[in-house]
Amino acid sequence: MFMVENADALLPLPPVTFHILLALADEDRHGYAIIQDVAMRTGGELKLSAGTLYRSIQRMLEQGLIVETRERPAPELDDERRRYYRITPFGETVARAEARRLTRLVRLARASGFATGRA
Amino acid sequence: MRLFRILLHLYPAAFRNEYGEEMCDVFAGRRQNLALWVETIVDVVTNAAAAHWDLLRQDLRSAARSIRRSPGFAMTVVLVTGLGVGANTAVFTIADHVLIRPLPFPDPDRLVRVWQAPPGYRMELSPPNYRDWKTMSSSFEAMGAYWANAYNLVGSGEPQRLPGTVMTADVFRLLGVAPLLGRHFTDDDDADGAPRTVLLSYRVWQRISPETPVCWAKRSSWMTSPIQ
Repeated sequence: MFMVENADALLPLPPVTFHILLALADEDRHGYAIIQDVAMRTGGELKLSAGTLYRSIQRMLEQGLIVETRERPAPELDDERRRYYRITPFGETVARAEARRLTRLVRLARASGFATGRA
Repeated sequence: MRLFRILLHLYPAAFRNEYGEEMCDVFAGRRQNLALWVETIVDVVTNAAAAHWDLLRQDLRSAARSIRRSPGFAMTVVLVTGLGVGANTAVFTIADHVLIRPLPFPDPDRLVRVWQAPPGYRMELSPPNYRDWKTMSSSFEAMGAYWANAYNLVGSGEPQRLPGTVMTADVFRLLGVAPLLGRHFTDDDDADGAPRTVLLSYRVWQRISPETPVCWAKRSSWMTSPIQ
């Protein structure tokens, strides 16, 4: 496992990684729930496949962006076969850094007339 | 689902053991139709290749770190491995040429060597025995005899000691090979009093000119004869 200490070293984040961090920002989720959340947030535009999801999860675990959590939700909502993932403080830092980067990009795009809205 | 589990074997074993069950759950939760299967197969193939590549990169990074920490040990390992590979290559090359490759003649599996075998040892055939065997044998289509010797070639530059073979006329016919130029031996060459006939190897022929008179000498007795 290799840990990255500097959030900026991971930027720019792959889009799938950013979406997974967004899905975990509110609550811990298992893999299938992450797929559903990403699809819902993007209006069906991004449907993660199992292979893409779990490869990303593996990498994000190695980078320290997420951890597998042993805490389980309420029994009636729980599926004991599933593993839940939680965003780490470092993952939150990286997600914020990526959001700032994207915001700057959008601002530049607006200034150049490529995007509508205030620059 | 069984087919999906088989497809998962494309992933590295460690990845499959870690996430295989969850991936099966995700797949089972989706409505299965032909489009999903096509998408799944493409997804598995591409992601499995990427997963193997990720593993390889990790291993290479780890190896590079180890080499940087102990360059002397790494160099020793490389040298020893190189010696081992070289020795193996040499041994297998020899084994291939001597033991595995067939003889470069037509029907090599039909060629046999025969010896006299008195109890306890093996010996070459005497000429009278060879003649008797050739006449009386019904097991062999043809028979020829040969024995190795060495000769001095003089008269063409520096004298040279050349390995040679004396043989009966049948040998080349048996082997099914023909010379590049000229003829091989005939029954007339086997007759008593026939002129001495030599068949030169390609390498020797390259070295001497046909017009140059040469002497062939065996042991301490000198004989002069034209090359025929």
